[in-house]
Amino acid sequence: MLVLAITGLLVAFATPGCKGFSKKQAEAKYGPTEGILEAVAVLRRHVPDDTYRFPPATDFSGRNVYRASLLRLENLERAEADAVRSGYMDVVISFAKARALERIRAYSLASSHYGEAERFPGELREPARVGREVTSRLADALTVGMDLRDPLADESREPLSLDIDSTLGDLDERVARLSLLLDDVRGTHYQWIVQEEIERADMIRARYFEFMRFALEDGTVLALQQLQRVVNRHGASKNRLRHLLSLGDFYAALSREYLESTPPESIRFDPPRFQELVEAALRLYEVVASHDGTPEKLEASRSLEAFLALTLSVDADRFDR
Amino acid sequence: MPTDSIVEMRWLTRGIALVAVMVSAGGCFSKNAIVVDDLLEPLALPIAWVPKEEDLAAARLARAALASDPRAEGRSRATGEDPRPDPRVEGALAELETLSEAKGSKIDEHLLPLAIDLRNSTLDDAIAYRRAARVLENRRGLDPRIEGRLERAIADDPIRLARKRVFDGWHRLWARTFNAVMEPLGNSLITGFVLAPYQLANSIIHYFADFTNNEALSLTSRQALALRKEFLRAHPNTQWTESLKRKVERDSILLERTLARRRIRAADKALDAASPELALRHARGAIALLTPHPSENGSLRKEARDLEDVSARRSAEKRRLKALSLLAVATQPATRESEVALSMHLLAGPVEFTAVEPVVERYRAAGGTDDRVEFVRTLALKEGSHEKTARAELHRLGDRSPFVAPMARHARVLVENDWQNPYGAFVRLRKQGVRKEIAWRLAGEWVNRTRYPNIWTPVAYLIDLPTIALTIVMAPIRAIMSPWTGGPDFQRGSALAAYRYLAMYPNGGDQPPVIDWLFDYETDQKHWGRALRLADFMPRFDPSKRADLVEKTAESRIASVEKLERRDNRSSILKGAAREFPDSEKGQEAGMLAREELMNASPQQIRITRSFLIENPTVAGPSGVGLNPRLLNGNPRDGELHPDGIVLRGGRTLEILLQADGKDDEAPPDPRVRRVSKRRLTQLSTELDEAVRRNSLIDIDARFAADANRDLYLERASLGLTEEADLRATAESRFVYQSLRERYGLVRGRESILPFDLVFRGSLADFSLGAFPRWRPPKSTPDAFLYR
Repeated sequence: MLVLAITGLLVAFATPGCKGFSKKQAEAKYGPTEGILEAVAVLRRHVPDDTYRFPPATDFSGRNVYRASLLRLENLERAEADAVRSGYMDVVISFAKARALERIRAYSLASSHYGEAERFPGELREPARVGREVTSRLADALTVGMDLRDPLADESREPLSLDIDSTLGDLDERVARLSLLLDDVRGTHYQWIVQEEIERADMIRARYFEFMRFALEDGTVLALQQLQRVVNRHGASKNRLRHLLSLGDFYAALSREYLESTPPESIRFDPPRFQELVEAALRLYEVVASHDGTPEKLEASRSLEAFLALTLSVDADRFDR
Repeated sequence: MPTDSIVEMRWLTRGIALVAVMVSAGGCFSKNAIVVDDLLEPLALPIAWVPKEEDLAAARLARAALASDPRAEGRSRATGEDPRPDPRVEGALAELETLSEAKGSKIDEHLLPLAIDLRNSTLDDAIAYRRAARVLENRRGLDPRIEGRLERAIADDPIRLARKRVFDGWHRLWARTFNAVMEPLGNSLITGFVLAPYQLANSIIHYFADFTNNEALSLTSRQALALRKEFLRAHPNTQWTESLKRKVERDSILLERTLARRRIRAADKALDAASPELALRHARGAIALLTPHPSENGSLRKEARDLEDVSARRSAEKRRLKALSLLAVATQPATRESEVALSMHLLAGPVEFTAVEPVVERYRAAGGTDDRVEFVRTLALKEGSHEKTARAELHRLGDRSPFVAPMARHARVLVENDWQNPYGAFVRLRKQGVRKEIAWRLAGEWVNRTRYPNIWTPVAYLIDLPTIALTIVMAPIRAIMSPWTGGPDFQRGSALAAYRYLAMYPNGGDQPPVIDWLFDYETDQKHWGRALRLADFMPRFDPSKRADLVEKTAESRIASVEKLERRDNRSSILKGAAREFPDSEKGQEAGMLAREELMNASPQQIRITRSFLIENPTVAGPSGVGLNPRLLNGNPRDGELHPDGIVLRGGRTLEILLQADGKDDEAPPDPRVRRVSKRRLTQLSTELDEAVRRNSLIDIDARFAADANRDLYLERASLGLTEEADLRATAESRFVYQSLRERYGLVRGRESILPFDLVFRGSLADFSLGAFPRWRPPKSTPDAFLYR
């Protein structure tokens, strides 16, 4: 009887029970956020994170922790509708949302949420005022100069400005404003946000020259200089490998263009010139591919392979493989 | 002692001494060289050349061949009929043939085969040309150059190549079968065939198990399929079209099966790795691959569909859980006030342990849960520079069940994420590395996989059991030999995590042990530069050890220069090493080398050795560079070229390396630099090119590796376009033309004419000794990698 009972129990556990348990366990892990403190505590843990040098944290579901926190806070707002209506939780939710929004580049929204939080008396009023000022200055700085465009949006139908001086002047103005802000916020978590924006401004500048290189005198050289400038200025950034990859991709694109314009079998083909472009691209891809633990490693190693495949089409006596 | 005998001895001694002096002096005379400055001979004057009758006929044929038109009258043909050459070409060839018959041996015997080949090339049909080339190849007394060319043209037949690839597949199978029987029999020789039944049975099991690694369409068959398709595209209407189409259809079905099977395996792996989205993509990819033939590969299609269903279900469940994770439920009314207060406190600014504690206590008194309290405390600890303690607390919280402690899931992410907890990652990866290394030392590659991944894993391991057992038994011997044999770096990931920890927590509580570990790791890996940087972070590091590290770092930089081709890169690294380590011995050496690099820099460094010049007298002679023949006569007493030969330095600069005055050819050369005339350089490059081409057609081993910069320079030199030297570092070639003897030694290795190798094998691993023939499988073609 005992044996039968034990067997029965084992069978019961081993079949649907076990399956139910693992499902429940998964649901417990992915279960909803229970109350304001859980949402705030998780977000607050990552407020001081240096997101300029290191990648932003992810939560247990693998999402960006700031975006996930913002979505949870919004859902909490709905769940706590009564408490919010009574103004009981307003200050905490607005302030927390502002903290999340400023890390996903929604500075105007963050500023208005800080403004909401500032209206309430209490210990959050002063940090909300500081937050509102900084995010307003960030939002203002971003209105100066061009931004990268969504290639499918209506705004992309407009041609890029051909006035280099004014485009560069605007971007310089933006960086100057951000640099002034950086001096003011050094030592706070805003330092990383401002550095990220400066990095982005430098990237936009490089991209502008990349897009415009056919329209400008010495456009290719200028684009190379600008891409190199981003690599040099942001060697400590979490995006440094991405910048190196962009530079490598640019050299690879130049090599392809050179092959198309001057086929290797033509008499104008200059092996040393092609070699220079190829070596530069390969060196950069190799550098990135040697960095463990980053997705760029995979991208670079596959790009390297693809680029080497391109050179297979060139005769061995025109290019040293 | 008798006086006479003493006298005799004296004479004998003197005689020996005299002979010794003469011999040694003679040796000196024969070895010691003098330097002469009469290095280049005047160039041969061009001889006026009057074309003969046959030359004119050949020129007429060439003219007709170039002017031949495939649409010309009389050249059109019905399907299946061989094309006809242009009648004008036929006429010109007939004229040359008549002349050849009339003049007999007075005209160049190679002229007529060349003319016939030229006529064949005007057929404008690859199949007809190959057929005509086969006829021509059977002609007697062909020049090896044209014979080689014809062989290549005949071999470049897609159908023939496809047949050869299919044969390669069968050949490989035969080689496997032969070796599966012969190897165990040969290996059991030492035991007097006592172990033969066991070894044979084992070998046969492996032989059959290995078939599971085969794909539906082998690599060689894929090559054949591509070749047949290529032929059909180029020649859609031939007598072989129908049979080729059938073969292509058959192999296409097999190719679909092969590729779909790969996608299904990838989908399985993705499912195991909890990536149902990727699995779904692979499963759908497999179904799409099988679409062109709906009535074929039924079971595989069913497998792919089942996988698609499972992946889709799991993917949907994953999405549901992720969506669930974003939901929020209202705060418990009992704790709402205290939660809001605690939340405000947390958001207001840096969290201090003493300041947050009363707020936490109020929350706890209102019925707050322990997990939230613990999470808030770890936050306070972290921000109070107690990162190490905070980490330990998070570990504790993360171990709790998410059923009862929802904050455990957040704590677990913070503990398990490599970026959030680099120290934890470092400890975990280090332990994992040690475990992996022990397993690897014990069982080698068996810890990772079996030889037969497509067989059910327990059976696959069972098949390999004898070999695995032997590998484990021999582990101590491998361990003894490991310093020489090396092995994978199992701690690379740990080092990466350790560096991340140093960067993220510059004041972290575990910095000193992490730096110490990294220092030992980098030293073991001989990464001296990194070890040096770490040493600078170690307090009270021994200055003498530091100086030693500086020397080693500079030395490794110097060593790395040897692998670099470009002079600008070499120079830049040497200058960097000299600037960075100016007080070290090796740093100074780097500076000297940088100076030497600068002094010796020249646009080109193409060297032609003395031995090559002797082997190819036309290059050295008056129709080539025009070296003084005395420099190559082997007598150093009238001046001799150093074995390093001559160097083309770019532009019109030629460096002639002579044996130094009073020295033998082992001593460094005495260089003489000459600016040569355009004509001399043109002659040299033309003769060099001609000699290399001729040699490579006659002897396959005489071929040189391709070098784009060398070829470009010589091409420009032969056209007289070297007035302005190309100063780009990427334009430089450091190619060396060596003689066959220099490249291969006295005896060149040749492949055996037997189809198998005789192998004598003794293995310390299993104490076996045996002898057996091993059938050589066919070599893979150079383009095989394009079919994997």
